[in-house]
Amino acid sequence: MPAPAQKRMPPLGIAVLAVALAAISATGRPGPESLAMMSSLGLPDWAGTLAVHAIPVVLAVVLLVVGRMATRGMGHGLKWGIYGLLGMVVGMVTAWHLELFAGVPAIIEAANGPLVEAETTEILLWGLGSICMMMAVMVGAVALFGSNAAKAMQVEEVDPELLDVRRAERGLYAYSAFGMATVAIACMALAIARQSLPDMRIGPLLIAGVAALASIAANWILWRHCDELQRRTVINGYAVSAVAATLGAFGWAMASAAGYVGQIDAAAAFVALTIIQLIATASTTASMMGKTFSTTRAA
Amino acid sequence: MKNRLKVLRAEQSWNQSDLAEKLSVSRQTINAIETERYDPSLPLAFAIAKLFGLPIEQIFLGDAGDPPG
Repeated sequence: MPAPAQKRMPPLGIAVLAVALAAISATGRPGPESLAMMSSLGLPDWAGTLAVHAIPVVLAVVLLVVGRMATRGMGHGLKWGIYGLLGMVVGMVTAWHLELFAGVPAIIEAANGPLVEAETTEILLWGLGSICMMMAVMVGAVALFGSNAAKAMQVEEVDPELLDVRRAERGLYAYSAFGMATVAIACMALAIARQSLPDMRIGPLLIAGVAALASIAANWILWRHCDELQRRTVINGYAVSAVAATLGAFGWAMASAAGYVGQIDAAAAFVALTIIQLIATASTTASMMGKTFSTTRAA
Repeated sequence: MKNRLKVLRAEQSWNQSDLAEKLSVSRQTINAIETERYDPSLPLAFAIAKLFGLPIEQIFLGDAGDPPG
């Protein structure tokens, strides 16, 4: 039996995604190489600047449409894996063209003194913190506005029951958003501490510690309120991430012994473990709860 | 595991949220059981059977779709 025709993409979700990306893009400062490239194409300065800001937005929407067509009929694990890769492409292109949140370092320096240049680990901490904060904002919107927010952020047709967020459920979304926001704050504060002068590190480290404790408390409250499916999902996610992290650490240890890679410090290990946990948890949640109409109907 | 939860729920004119509330679980759990992505624990299966007044084997049909003989 041929796969049935796929439902059209929810236009509101695409529009919300585009507006959100445009807002993030607006915080960025175009790189000189990107502006030079636009000039070489014959664009005046204002049009070149506009084009550099528009590239991430247009690319994300185009890749989303292409990704949806390419993953038609695929299992949700593979589908979301491909979406993740496409998201990475958008992120890399954006980072190449724009220095996002360009005004933030000046604010931090005004409050906490000069910052040294971020190295790989600090860039990863900032990236992880930004992803967690973005997720916190999205989940927080569901906590505040319920089903309307869930529907507005949907770029795939899913079972309407999954988008029906009742008032009584919003508290859990709020705790979840709070937990993600505190992880984001912890990551960013740790990055600031590593980039600060030695005698200016205590403040950001204190903030990172308090945020980490608050995150643990929020997760504990969430766990107490989870039912058996939600607990199974959490346990499955952590089981997958434990295996992946152990194998990854062993592989890194072998490569390090062979002299191919350097040693990593605790902050880099924390970033790697958290990223693995995010991917594993998102994947197991999608496979247990997030079955889409397209995969259901094609099955 | 195949089950008749969706049919039984519809017979009572309950939506997933109503059933979830009666069983003290999330709507996602009801959805996952109905779509056969999750097999409930034994205590939850007994709670479902008690709620509908049926033996467990008349609700959960095994992978073959037939009640165990």
